Amino acid sequence: MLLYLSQSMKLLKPLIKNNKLSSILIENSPDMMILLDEQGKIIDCNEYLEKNTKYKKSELIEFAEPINLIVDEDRTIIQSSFKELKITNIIQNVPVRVKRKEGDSFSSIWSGITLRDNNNHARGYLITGKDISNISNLDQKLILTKKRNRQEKLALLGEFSARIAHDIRNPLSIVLISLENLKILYGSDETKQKQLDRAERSIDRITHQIEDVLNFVKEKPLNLENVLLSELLSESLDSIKIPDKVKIKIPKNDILLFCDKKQFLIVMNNLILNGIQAMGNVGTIELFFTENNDEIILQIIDSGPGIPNNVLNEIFEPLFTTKQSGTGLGLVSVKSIVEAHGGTISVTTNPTTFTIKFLKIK
Amino acid sequence: MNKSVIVVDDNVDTVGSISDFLSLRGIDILGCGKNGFEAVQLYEKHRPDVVLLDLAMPDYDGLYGLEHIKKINSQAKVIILTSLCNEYDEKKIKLFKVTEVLEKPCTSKQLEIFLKIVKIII
Repeated sequence: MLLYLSQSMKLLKPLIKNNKLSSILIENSPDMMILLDEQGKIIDCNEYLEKNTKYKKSELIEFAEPINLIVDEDRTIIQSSFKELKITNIIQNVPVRVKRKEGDSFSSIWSGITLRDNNNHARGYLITGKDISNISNLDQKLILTKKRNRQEKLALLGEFSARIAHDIRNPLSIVLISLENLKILYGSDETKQKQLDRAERSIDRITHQIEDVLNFVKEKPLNLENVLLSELLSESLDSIKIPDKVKIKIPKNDILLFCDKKQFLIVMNNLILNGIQAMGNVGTIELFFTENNDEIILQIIDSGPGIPNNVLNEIFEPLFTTKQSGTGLGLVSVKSIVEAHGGTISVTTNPTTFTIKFLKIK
Repeated sequence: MNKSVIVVDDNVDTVGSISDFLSLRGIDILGCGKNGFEAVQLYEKHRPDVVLLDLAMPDYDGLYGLEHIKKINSQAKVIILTSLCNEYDEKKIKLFKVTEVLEKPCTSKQLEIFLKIVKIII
């Protein structure tokens, strides 16, 4: 091997005076080494490259160009780096993935120098590469650990917010009930009544925000049963304060849906409340229940101004909200509940239309 | 004759506000308690039309109260008024044929529904 290498090292002779030393250095190098001729064809390599790529030296020389050792998606990097090397005489730490004979690949970084003779003519190139797969694996592990830590933190945060949200409900209920009592005791004239109404609206708002958080962090197994959509809708409308100037158009037909009633009420409530708020408490919300052979489709359309196109893709993202008092969790919960039921939800604008689809169970 | 209730919750302000809320609407409050044990005593003594009962209370919880009130009178009307009802509680509550399980009202709409249900049950 040494002999073979030293023969081809003739090329290096004018540049590296001690032939034997250079051979030893190259063979024992912890790096992969490739020697290219002026045209950039492989004329030699060290044993480490053979071992790492599982190719024999003769096969590598047949490859003719190192680019054939590189995974397809990284080939342009190598091409441009080689061009750069020709101009600058040295390039360092070019990251590419190298293909092994078996087809798998590994991460590596490569450096190269131009070999010139005494007359300063380029005679070839010495390319060295470090296998950094261990480092990349470590990187991957680090990313996974970070991800797991984040999930653990989120779970803890979820538990924590659920507890706070729950603890707030108790005193909030007392404030609300006492306020109602005050209304009967002292809300005799309009001015006094107005103060109490204002406080009451604020409590409603806090409660809705807490409910959003609770619905988002609560992980509950599905408790499935057959429910009529009409029943679901009327229960939902019973639990929402519908402003006087909002009209709700209810479908005349009815469909049986296999779902978790409590969770699906969250979906209905959120979408209807969302519509009411989007319309600024004035307008019409229309619901449609349709079914065909394969699907059950539920649509909620509001007469509001529509959703700007630039936010359309974001409205199901956690913490995204356009409302001053929104938590950005309502529609996220809606989506996750629908998906937990094996359904899909989409939204289109002008007019704002939420469409929920379920595949029929056959 | 006015309809009557007893209200049981470990939070004195919850008991106070709900009692006032109902009595301002013409319902007699026969007694107030702070745990399941007191709930049973009050029920035995007053035999109200309805018991309003919290679940999570120290020493003797709402499930204790529910179980023993139903032993005294299996037809007793009990409304569980809670802020947190886990699945374990839900299963146990179902065993005792409770009249209604309500979350503590936190919005004006929920309060409206609460009053409506109490009136229907009474």
